[in-house]
Amino acid sequence: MELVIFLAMAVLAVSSGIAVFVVDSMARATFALAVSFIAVGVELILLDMGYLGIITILMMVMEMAIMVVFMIMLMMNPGGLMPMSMFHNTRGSWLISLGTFAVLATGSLLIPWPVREGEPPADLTRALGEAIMGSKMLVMIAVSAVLFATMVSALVLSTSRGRYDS
Amino acid sequence: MGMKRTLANWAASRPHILMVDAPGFTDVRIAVEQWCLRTGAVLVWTPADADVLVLGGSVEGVLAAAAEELWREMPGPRARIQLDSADKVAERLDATRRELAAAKLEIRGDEWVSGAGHNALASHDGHDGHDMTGPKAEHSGHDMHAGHDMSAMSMPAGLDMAERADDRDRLKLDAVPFSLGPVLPGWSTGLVIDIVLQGDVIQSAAARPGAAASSDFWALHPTAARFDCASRLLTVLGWQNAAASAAVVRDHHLETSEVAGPIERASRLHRQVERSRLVRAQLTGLAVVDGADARDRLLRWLTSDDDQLPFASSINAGLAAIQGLELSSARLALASLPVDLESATMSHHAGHHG
Amino acid sequence: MSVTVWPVWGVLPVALAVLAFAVTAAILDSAAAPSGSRRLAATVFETARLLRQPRRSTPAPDALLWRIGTAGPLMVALLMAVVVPFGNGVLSNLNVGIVWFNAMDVLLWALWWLAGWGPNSMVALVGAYRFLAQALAYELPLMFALTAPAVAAASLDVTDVVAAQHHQWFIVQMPVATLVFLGSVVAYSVWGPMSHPVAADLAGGMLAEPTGIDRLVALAGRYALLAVGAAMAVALFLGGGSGPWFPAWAWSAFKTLLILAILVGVRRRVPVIRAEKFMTVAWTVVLPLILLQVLVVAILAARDASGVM
Repeated sequence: MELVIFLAMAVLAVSSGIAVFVVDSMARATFALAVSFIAVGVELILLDMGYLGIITILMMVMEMAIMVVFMIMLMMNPGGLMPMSMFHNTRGSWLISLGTFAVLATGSLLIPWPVREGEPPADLTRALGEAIMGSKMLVMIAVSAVLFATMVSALVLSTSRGRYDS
Repeated sequence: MGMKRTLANWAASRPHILMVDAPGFTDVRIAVEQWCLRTGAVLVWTPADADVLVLGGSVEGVLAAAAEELWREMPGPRARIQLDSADKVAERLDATRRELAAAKLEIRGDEWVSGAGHNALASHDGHDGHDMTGPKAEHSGHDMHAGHDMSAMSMPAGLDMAERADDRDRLKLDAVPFSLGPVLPGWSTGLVIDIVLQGDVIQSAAARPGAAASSDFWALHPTAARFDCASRLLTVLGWQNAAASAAVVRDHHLETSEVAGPIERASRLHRQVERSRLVRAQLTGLAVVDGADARDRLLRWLTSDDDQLPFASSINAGLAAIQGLELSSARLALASLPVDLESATMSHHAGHHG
Repeated sequence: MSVTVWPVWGVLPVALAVLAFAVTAAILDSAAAPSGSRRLAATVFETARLLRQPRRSTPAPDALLWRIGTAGPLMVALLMAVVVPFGNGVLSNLNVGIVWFNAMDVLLWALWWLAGWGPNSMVALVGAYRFLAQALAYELPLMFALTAPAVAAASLDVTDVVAAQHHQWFIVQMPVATLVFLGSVVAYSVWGPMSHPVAADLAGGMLAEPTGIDRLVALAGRYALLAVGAAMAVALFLGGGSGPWFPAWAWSAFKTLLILAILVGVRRRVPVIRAEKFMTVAWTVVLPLILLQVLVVAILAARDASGVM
């Protein structure tokens, strides 16, 4: 059962990834990418990484919603009403991407992966948090607040007034 | 079938009315609003949500074209009525409601139903301006060009691409021509203001000389006029209870000339609006004319003691005020500088600014 | 009290329950209207009206994205309801239930935008962008407001949060988080003071173009989002189904209806807040306050933990 879902998500991820380049509309391209990310998130959930999978879906959908604003603003054919080909160096891209895929696939199949020792911990989320941040958790939280304040201040300093006059 | 009958009766119990009132027929509009209040019918903002199109008075020119477009945009079982005067409004609207219950779904082939191509109309209409916004993906089959051909610009669905222009910060952004009016919620029906939008910021605005008629309806009821304008501004602010309250006070002032009754309600409304921090945040400093901003004008309208009419002398003050403003601020500014399309002066001045 | 996890086929009754609460919200909304006759039956009449209407299109829309956008909010509400405990049961006691709820409300960023982009209409598109501006403003405070009960209960599982309130409801130690959460529910449902994306000055914004079944689903979605948000607030801050004398499901229902009535009632009483003005307030006032709230909750939780040990 899990294998079926995994395969379905894999097919969905790859095909919506291809759709990003095939569709004409920028809005559709962005959300095809979002679908691809969601499929990857579901696969992470299937691998018992529930927290990571759901966070992936959360962050990626939010990012796609922000990205679509920029896609519509900056790209040439946002609605896709005039079909135009936007590929450059098509042959070169195919060669590079297929080559990279071949190398990575061969590697993932031939590498001697380590054997699991012991059991997965009972609370995976807690174990994940401790593995990533360990003893530095307080520092990380403080740093993230400082980063956020820096971003906001940089924005405020760089534009003396906002978009609207009132 | 009994089921369909019941569904139709239920659907017609709460008709959604789209009101297109020509200038000079304010009494018809007020009569329709009072009927809606009594029977629970809803006055709606958009033809997609409407069942009944009510034409108040002699609708001509731009307004007539707009009314036809709105009629075409209404889906589903719909009914239409022309009201030329304010008497027997209630009976006629009740009859229209029965007609709506019996109305059948027509099979229509226009683009509002099928979404196929559409020729850009000569007249700007309804609330959808000139169709140019970020063009969308779906192409009806026969226009497909695969490949790199950009020069053969077959306009999809008859829509043009927007041109670019400089904005306030010298960025080149798409400039989309749009028009406000002639039919909008909280708007003097019949007024059309053509604007150029970059995003949601107005770059230039011009009023189109439109239908205007002479009538002294508001001149005879200045206090009611003030509360009508206040009700409109409160509608645009989104404060539905306050707008309804102001409308009730207006109706009372129209029926009797003594001010005894609604004083309590009016002063309560005035207190609420004065204390509201959200109103203060949105209206302070907006559309300053003669030293008074939008909030000052609104508070002045809500006091019921003097005889002053609330209208601006011409549309030029409004056009100057909305230059460079964002769309919702512009709507608030225009609502706080209402023009009386019925006064004789309006029909001669058509302002142009920007 | 132990939590029963309902079987998989419980999806259907849960969906029906969400719809029932959504209908209740609609009835409360029309009852709160300032005037008009037969207000309580208005929901029935409106539904009949919309069922009788056909779908309508606009010139050159993006039909696929439009349908996804209008049907989306209702789907999101149903997905959110999967982790919300009601009475003593829950459909899924996912160990990261709070994160799931957060992920579902982020889906609305995409869905409301699609509802505005799809119809190729100026007013709808402006509404969509207004929603993104508003979403940017409330999302960070919402995330911190969801963190507070998780810290207090030392778990991301919603059923653990309910269980941790057995001696004191969380609203007592985190009132700011409760208010921020309820405000965010109103905001992502595009409701009342946060309905700038669908406001009158845009002639309805994202709700200006859909008709018939699309409109019905979009409006039902808003009510459903309010209902599920209210139920989640009850679970996170008001102790879930706890209360004397009556069974847990009755208390859950009562508290949910109370919160839902407050959320629905706020609609007509207040003017609409503009998205860019809201952003200023949200990031300069609300965000520091909610961070302080999380700090207070963390200190209390640390003190409790060290007190126990």
